[in-house]
Amino acid sequence: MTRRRVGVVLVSHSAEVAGSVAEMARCLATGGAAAAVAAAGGAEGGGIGTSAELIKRAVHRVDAGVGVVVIADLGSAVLTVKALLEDKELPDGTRLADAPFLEGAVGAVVTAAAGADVAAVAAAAEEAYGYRKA
Amino acid sequence: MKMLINVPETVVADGLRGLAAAHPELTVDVENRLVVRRDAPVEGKVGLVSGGGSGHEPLHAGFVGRGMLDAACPGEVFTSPVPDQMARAAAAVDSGAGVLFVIKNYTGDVLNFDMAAELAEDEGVQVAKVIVNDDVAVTDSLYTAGRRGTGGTLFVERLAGAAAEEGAPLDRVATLAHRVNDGCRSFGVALSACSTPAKGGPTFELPPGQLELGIGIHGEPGRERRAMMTSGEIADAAVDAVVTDLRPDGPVFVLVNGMGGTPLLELYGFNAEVQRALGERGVPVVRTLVGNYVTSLDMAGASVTVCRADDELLRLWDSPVRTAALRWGC
Amino acid sequence: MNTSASGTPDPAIDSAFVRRWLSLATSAIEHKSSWLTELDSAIGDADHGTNMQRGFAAASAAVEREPSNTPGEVLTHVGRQLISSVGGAAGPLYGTLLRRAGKALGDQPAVTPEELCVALRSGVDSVAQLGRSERGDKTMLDSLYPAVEAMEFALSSGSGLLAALAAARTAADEGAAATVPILARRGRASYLGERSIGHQDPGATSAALLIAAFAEAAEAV
Repeated sequence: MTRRRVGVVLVSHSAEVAGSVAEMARCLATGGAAAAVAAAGGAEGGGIGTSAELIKRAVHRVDAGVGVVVIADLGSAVLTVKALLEDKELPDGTRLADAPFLEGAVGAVVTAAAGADVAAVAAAAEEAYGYRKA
Repeated sequence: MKMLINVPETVVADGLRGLAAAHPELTVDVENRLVVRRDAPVEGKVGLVSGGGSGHEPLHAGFVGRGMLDAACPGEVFTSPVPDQMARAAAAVDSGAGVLFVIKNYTGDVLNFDMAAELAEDEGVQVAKVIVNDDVAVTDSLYTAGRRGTGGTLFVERLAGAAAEEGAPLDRVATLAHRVNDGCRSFGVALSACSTPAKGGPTFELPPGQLELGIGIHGEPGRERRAMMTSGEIADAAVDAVVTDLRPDGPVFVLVNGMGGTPLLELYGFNAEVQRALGERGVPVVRTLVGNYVTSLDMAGASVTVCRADDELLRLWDSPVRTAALRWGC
Repeated sequence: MNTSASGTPDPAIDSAFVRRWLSLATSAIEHKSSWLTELDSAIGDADHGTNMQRGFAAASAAVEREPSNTPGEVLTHVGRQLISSVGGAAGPLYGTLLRRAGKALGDQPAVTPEELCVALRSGVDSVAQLGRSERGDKTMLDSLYPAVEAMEFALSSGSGLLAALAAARTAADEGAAATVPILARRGRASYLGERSIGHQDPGATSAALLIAAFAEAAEAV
């Protein structure tokens, strides 16, 4: 059977932040090529902001029919994803993870690349709140 | 948006069933999406086959009959038909004298008709093609798919159809069709967007109080949007666009065509302004047709097509025609 | 038999492989149908998803009715069915892509990854020829050419089928995403001119789905 992977979308106010975190998570995941991660950062024409269009495009890009976990940085990024989910503008099986941006992204992408289901990928992102650094 | 339909998936089939019920002189194959003259193939006559996406009625099925098309192939709404339809149509209307495909210049139509021509030729049918591209709104033909086929299609189908009815051979019918197309120019104006059954609502946004000059028959964007204008101002803009491009040096046929959602009262009023505008520019009009002929579903608005006329074309135009949408002389 | 880095052996490219591809492509198109239509409603006439779905459903049914014995025959058959059922420009273009690729595979019961790659390249070239377009016109070629080139590069650097198709899938996906800022020059979108900028091309997107299905078909053994 083919293993369709859960997708991960990183929504940040900054295109650079979203892109770099996606790249880092991809590199940390073993067999990184198998991870479907997309960045939706910044406003549509560039600059700091959030774009519903970019988010939609990114979610559809990584959606293989087995769910997509979205991780957003702050404020309007979170609100835009919530609004898209409420308006059913994102594919079925898309969920917003309550997770720290970078740590959550790494947890989600590593777990998704290993072939876990959408609940496990979201849980991996959310568990990242528990990592103690000191 | 409320529509007089059952479900979006069956609009084309439902329309064909209704056409069949109203016009026993047509053979309507609902399953294979084919409308054919009942007396086809007509002995010794070149067959004319056209087709395109549905949603432009009466084009093309309403133009099937004596003096015009032998067969029409309707596709899904705004989607070109598939090659099998045209190949089947060609086989049904070919009496051995060959078949002319009348194709509106859209990427999908051109590709599907090209493939159909190959299929038909493999079956031994001689095929000639004419691509209608009369829409002057498209100014950049190099970096677009080129000028679109709109109202000029009616003139090509009628005049080439009349020549075929008189017994002209395929090369002459094809040459005449090209000549008619070369002499046709059209310009459309939208007052509202059209709504496809599949979408259930407008396919583009046209803000209230604005119109779009140069609209295509699928709602393709035109040259510009402007604040609403009067019928006289719209006629001047449309006539300017076609006359500047065609530069007619003699009499012309005129089609004042409704897009589907504009009342005939308004269309006739618009025709009065079109005739005035042509008169002011010194263009003599020999025949005029007013009505909904090349429509865009429920779009409000109109297009103006001007077609060069000469003695031969005038005689062909006046010859008998008997179709669902055009009928005179018989 | 070649073996990929992860140790999974490459599958044979036989008629079962192409049938697996067809089934994966059909389900991907079905799943993404409304998204394709949404992309098409921005720069086309809002029917790409519906038309592709109708075509692939018809092709799947036809291949099931008349199973073919060679990969070339299956691809050719699918191409013919798409031409007969999709309509619009997508029907002839996708139909030609697969028909030409299928014919290039000949009548062998199984082909090498290199032969599949050459066949896909000849299919893509025939799409460019038929549509009189090139890369950068905001069409399906913007994901197909990068995919074929990535596959060629991977195979020439010693990769096996799995890795080569994975590279093709990534390149197609990136190619489709990269159509957003391009000005459309072909098809109905071309009439939008500048207004076509900022929208992802539906054709490049559906083409990337078909390439991804090849990668999945190779994984799915």
